[in-house]
Parts: sequence; C-alpha cells; structure tokens
Amino acid sequence: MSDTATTPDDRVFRQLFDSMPQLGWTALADGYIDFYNRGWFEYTGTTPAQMVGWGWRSVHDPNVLPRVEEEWRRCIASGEPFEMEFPLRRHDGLFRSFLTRVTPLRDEDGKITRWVGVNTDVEDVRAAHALRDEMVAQGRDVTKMLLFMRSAKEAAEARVVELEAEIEKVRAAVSLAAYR
Amino acid sequence: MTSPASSSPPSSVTDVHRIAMEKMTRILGAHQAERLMRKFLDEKSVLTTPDDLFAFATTLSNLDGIESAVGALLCTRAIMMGASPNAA
Repeated sequence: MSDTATTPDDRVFRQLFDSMPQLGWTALADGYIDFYNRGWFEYTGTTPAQMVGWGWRSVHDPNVLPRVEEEWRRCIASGEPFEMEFPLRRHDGLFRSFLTRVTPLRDEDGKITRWVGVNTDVEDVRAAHALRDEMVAQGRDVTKMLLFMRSAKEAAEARVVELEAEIEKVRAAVSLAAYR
Repeated sequence: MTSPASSSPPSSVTDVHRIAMEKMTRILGAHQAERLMRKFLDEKSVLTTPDDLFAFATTLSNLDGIESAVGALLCTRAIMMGASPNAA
C-alpha cells in the first residue's frame, strides 16, 4: 500500500500518482493490487486496509463486477493491456462511470513486473452522450406527433368544408321550398 | 388515421413509471435513477398517470446539472402522454 513505499523512487512515484486528477493504482504481475493513489481513497472513501489485494471489488457495481473480473483475469493471463468502462461507487454511495486503462510494465526479458492502472471519470461525458441520444429520439417522436396533429387538423378542415357545402345545399333547398 | 405509436397514450398505468425509469437509467445510471425516484415517491409506490410523471419531471427540472435536462425531457414526454400541466 501507499504508506509502505520507502525508496526515493517510490516517493517520487507516489507524489506523481497523488498529484494526478485520476484514480491510480499498481498491481503485481498476478493482479494483486499493492498501491492506490490518494485520489482513489478520496473518491471511494475507503482505507488501505479495505482495498488491499482484491478489496477493490467492494466498490464495484455487483451487476458489472463479474464482467470486470473476467476481463481483468483474461488480461493478466494474456499480458494484454486492459481497457474497460465501468461504474465505481463514490464515498456517498453514488456510482459514476470510469474509463479504466491498465498497462503492463515489463523487464528486459519481456516479463511483466507490474501493472499500472488509471481510472478516469467519464460520467459527465457518458451522461451527456446519453442525454443527446434521448433528445434526438424524443425530437423524432415530437416531430411524428406534430405531423400527426397537422394531418388531423387538415382532415378536420376538409371535413368542415364538406359540411359547409352540405349546409349550403340544405339552406338552398329550404329557401326553394319556402319560395314554392 | 392512427396516432404514431410513440405518442400514443400509455397502455397501462405502469407504462408511465417504466418510461420515466428507462429514460433516467439510460442517462443518469440505474443507481441515480432509483435514488431520485425513491426520494420523489415517498408514499406512492409508482408513478401512475401522465400528471404524476409531469410532477416528477418538474421536480427534476428544478435540480442542478444533467438532472434538470432529464426533467425537461420528461416534462415534454408527460405532455405527449396527455398530462395537463395546469391541473398537475
């Protein structure tokens, strides 16, 4: 965990990670997470003891967690970078969507030594895109309704013209009858 | 002449609630959608009429951020479904 870092390199690394706006963490080659930055703890409201190892699962949406775990395990096994968007629970219980990218670090022999993960909050972008899609869909529905109403108005106006013509015929017939 | 399906009156009272939840879930996420609905409903279990939807949408539109935009969308939807804002 972050408070176990002791070497100068570790201190620089911690300062760098703590200064970035994203949530960040590192894992050992087998996926065991051994460091989270300050942003992670501030966002989730958790403690290092709660997050050690695979404790991160507790801040995931239970409905999405199985897919995250499956993909993370697949990447650990294959050595491929991980990229996925999923919600993470904030300290107040609200979930926000994060784009998560995890990159493997390798030694001279190509063997993975660490994974570096960065979670970027994309909730506002995701919500804005969803809102745009809803507005477009609803705009189409409103257009359909307006066209329907215009068509109904035109049909009603045509019927009024027909009725006026019929009334005129009746008036003419009544006038003629009265004249005779 | 038939009305477009999307603007037809709801076929059952639960359609009003379902439409509101679906729209909110797509935009705000399931958790925030449930949280907002729970906060609004209080005693009622579900939104049952277009006027209910309009009242809920008005509450949303008075909030900040993207929730207010969702509220505006749902206001329009409620009127399309037959809500009478003056009576609500």
